[in-house]
Amino acid sequence: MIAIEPEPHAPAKSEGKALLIEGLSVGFGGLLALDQVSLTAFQRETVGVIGPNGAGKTTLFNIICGFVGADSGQVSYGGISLLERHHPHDLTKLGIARTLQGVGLFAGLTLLENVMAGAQAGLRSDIASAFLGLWRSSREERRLALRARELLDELGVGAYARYLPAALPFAVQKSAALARALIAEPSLLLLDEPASGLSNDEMDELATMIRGLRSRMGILLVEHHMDLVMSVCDRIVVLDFGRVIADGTPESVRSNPEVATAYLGDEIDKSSGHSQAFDDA
Amino acid sequence: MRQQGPPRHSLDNTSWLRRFRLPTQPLLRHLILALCGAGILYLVTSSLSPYNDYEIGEIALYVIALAGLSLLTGMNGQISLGNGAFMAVGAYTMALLMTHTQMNFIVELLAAIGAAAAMGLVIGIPATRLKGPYLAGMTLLFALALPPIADKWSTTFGGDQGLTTTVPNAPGNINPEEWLAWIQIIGALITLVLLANLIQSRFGRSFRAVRDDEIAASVAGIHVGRTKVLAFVISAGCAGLAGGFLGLSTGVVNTGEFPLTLSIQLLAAMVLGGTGSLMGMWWGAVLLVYLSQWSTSLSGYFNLGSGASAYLATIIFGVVLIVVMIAAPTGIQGGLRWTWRRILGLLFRQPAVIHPASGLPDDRVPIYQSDER
Ligand SMILES: Nc1ncnc2c1ncn2[C@@H]1O[C@H](COP(=O)(O)OP(=O)(O)OP(=O)(O)O)[C@@H](O)[C@H]1O
Ligand SMILES: [Mg+2]
Repeated sequence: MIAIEPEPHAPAKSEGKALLIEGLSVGFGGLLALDQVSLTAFQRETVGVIGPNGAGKTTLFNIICGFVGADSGQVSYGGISLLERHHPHDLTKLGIARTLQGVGLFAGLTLLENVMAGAQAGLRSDIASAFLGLWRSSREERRLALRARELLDELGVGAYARYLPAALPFAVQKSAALARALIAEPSLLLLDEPASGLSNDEMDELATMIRGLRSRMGILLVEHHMDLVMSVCDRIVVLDFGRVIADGTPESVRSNPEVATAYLGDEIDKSSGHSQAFDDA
Repeated sequence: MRQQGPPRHSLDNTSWLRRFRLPTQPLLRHLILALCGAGILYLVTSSLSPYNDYEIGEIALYVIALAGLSLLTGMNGQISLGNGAFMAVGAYTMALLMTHTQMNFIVELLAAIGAAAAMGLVIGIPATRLKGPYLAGMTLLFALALPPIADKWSTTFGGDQGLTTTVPNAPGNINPEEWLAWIQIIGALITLVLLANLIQSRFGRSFRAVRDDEIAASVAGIHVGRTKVLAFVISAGCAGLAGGFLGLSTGVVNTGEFPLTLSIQLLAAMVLGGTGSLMGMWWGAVLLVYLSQWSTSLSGYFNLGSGASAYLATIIFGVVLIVVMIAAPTGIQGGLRWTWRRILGLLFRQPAVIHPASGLPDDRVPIYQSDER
């Protein structure tokens, strides 16, 4: 398991890289998927992004990654704009890694190779040594394979390293997808619904994992499971129809009446802060 | 921790065959395999007639073209109907250099590879933005456009007669067919070693990652466009070398040697051999050489015209393709691999290896290891 840093945990608000989003809007045809969204994630801060289905959470990630262009607004990470001349494949070089909604593993690559693929941008061996099969290339590969294996072991799925993802349990696939993001050693990790499809026990382990990670990196967590979001996040941003309707500590968001109405109002179970409407899985 | 691993199996103790392992270092591993292949081919060529040697040289040159295509389609998920035309680019380049200059033979071959690869870059940059049928359509267009160009500038490209090629003199008293065959075999073995090395490198992993999921690949930091163009250029370069070698086999280079059906037959032979496999391309090439020979003699037997006989080869190819795909969906190499595993299992009564998730014996799970070559 990843080294777990004990509490207390204090996000650094002043120094270091921060993700700054200001007045971000994007529309698909007539639909305004994001409407004047502003959001900040400081270094080593875990920020939850929640909202009903279709609220624009994945779209937000897609803009940060460069898959979708913004209509207006500003997005920057560590002072570098993520809107102009920004391509998804440059993301890991900026220190940003992402897991995809669902699983998003490469079906034809073993679990080990899947994780190795996450470090692709950091590899240095040139094409000539790759063609000639020289040690310069194979040594780098072997080192990377060892590192990938270690990471899989830490997440408790190392025994499956040789297998293709399709035939493996869903939770194992999810762990590998996380390992593929972590191997790039990001300073900002974007997690899109990491808990969907997991059992309660597996979700507890995930929560421990995320808490262990946040001493090392900032995390943007999109998730429908409120228990998880409430227990790991320093701050929560609530999106509804593309607009930010709340932004604050887990407690303030939980007691926010506007948030409750966005989630089918009275059906919310206030005692546990958990709503069935949140679970789309 | 969370899950239990697959049960450990004791294969390594029960089977002496499994105890013998090749090194994993790519260069050592593939050189050993290539030397074994060279040994087998040496026994074959020295025991057969010169005409058979000529055919083995042809098989070797098609292996080169097919291996490039197998990398492109099997590893990178792109389809090209233009590799016959890339062969023509290589052949004409080599023949032009032979007619007008006194260059070293190896340099002429490298120029053939370079010209085809450069053409691959020109076609590949726009083509790799396209997917599936559109990509195939674009490469098909290239294959269609090339012969008229050669006909238009007939003074340069020799028109119907074409350009003649010369094989460098054989050393000692080796007969010329065997000498040519060995030039082509060595070319094929070198190509296979280089491609096998590449597939085992970070570039090979990028190819396969892009094939499986372009979005996930780019999030992982892989430049999708560059990766696809690279695969396309490599497959064109392979076709260029194969084209140069074909020019040596036929003695002349003209457009008749590179009909559109060649591109289609290459694709079919690649699928027959086993898409994505390199070793399987030997089976594909054997079929490519012998099926068209049989179809020629068959059309002679039935007194078909020359036009019809050209299509007969394609039809026979299609029929064989259907039959093989029903019997062995992963191509001949896939079928052989499956059979070999079965034989080993029967001989050594290996304890069944249970797949961790499904609980099925491992060989019942469709594929459980990454692409095998
Ligand atoms: N590429 C696109 N083209 C058109 N519409 C899109 C596109 N991507 C997203 N949308 C729309 O934008 C809205 C926001 O989608 P998004 O995927 O961001 O929601 P989400 O908050 O991630 O929802 P979920 O919880 O279901 O994952 C939806 O109405 C969706 O249909
Ligand atoms: Mg989403």
